[in-house]
Amino acid sequence: MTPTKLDRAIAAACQDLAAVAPDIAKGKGKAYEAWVLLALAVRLKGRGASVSVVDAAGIPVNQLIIPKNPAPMPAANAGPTSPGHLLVNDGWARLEIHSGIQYRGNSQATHELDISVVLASEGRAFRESGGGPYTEAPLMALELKAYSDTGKLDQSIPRALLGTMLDIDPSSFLGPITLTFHGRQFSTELLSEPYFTGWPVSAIVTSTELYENSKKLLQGHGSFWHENLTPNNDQDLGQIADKILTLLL
Amino acid sequence: MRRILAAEMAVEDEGSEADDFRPQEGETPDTRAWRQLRLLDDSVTRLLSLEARLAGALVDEIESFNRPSDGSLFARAIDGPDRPTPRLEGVLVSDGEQQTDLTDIQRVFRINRFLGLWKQRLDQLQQEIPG
Repeated sequence: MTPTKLDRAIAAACQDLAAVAPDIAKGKGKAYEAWVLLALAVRLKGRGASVSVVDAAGIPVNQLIIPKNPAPMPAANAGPTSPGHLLVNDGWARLEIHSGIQYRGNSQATHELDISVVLASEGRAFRESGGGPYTEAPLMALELKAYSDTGKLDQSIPRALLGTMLDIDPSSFLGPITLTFHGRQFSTELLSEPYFTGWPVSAIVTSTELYENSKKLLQGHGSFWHENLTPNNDQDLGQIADKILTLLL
Repeated sequence: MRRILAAEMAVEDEGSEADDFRPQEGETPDTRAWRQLRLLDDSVTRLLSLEARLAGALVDEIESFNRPSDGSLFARAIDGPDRPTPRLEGVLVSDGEQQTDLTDIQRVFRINRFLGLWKQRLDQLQQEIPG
């Protein structure tokens, strides 16, 4: 089909948009990612947790740097210009919340998680051993999408999240397990170990809506979703913060 | 932009973005292009408006984050009083060489200026090629 004048005008406008705001045009949505990250920090603080912004060495900093592209976990000595993270603690446990970290799955393929919560002890040890695509399993993984052309999120996004989680941590698909010993049953739901009580958690967080088919897919595999989450409608962030806090208990 | 890509890929899938790009009955190339352009306009407007709103929301969250907090009783019992931490001044996106401050008001101005130009171009096109 020969492009009409209007087709060419559309293409030119798209190029303009890509030139002015490349991150937006590619759907990287870093502003959305940064907002969700900071908003979670504020809600965690509001619930009594101590939250600080630190660099790769764990030193408090006054600017949070998040990677533009998927980035490996930096080495502890990467310096103050490398990506930082949130350090959360509430007494016993310490967690780190990262943005845009690259993970290496069981297949050795790499994946990006937009926001991930990891054990601080594991994150620190990994950075001190030189960093790289992170190989420990996250406790929580959030896939963030701030756009949709149709007002609903393409189904490829939840499919991609489940595929990523399967490669990073197949145990994320395990439900409660009941063991029977000579007539006595022990349910893993009774154990306090996060892995046996529905962790890691994965969820889609989006400014748009999901198709019903996507919800069925996520629900069927123990994953969650938070749709229409924007600065004007941010109640779900409290739910996510509460889930994170259960990891600190 | 993604609409056009999706259309070109012609993804056969419920819930894909290609549906809007299938030619509809009785459409001429121009009326079809206008229909797609209006969909694109809706996406661009929604997306960029959200981007500008997020910048403001981010500044608000930073302000809230910097408010002093006592921390929980439990945390204080274990760790002692909160250690003083530096005020958070901004959030930067970095590719290793260049950094973009997401709270930079100039960035919001640029986004809004593009939106204005985009609408202007649509108006001009509407006069040149009614549809």
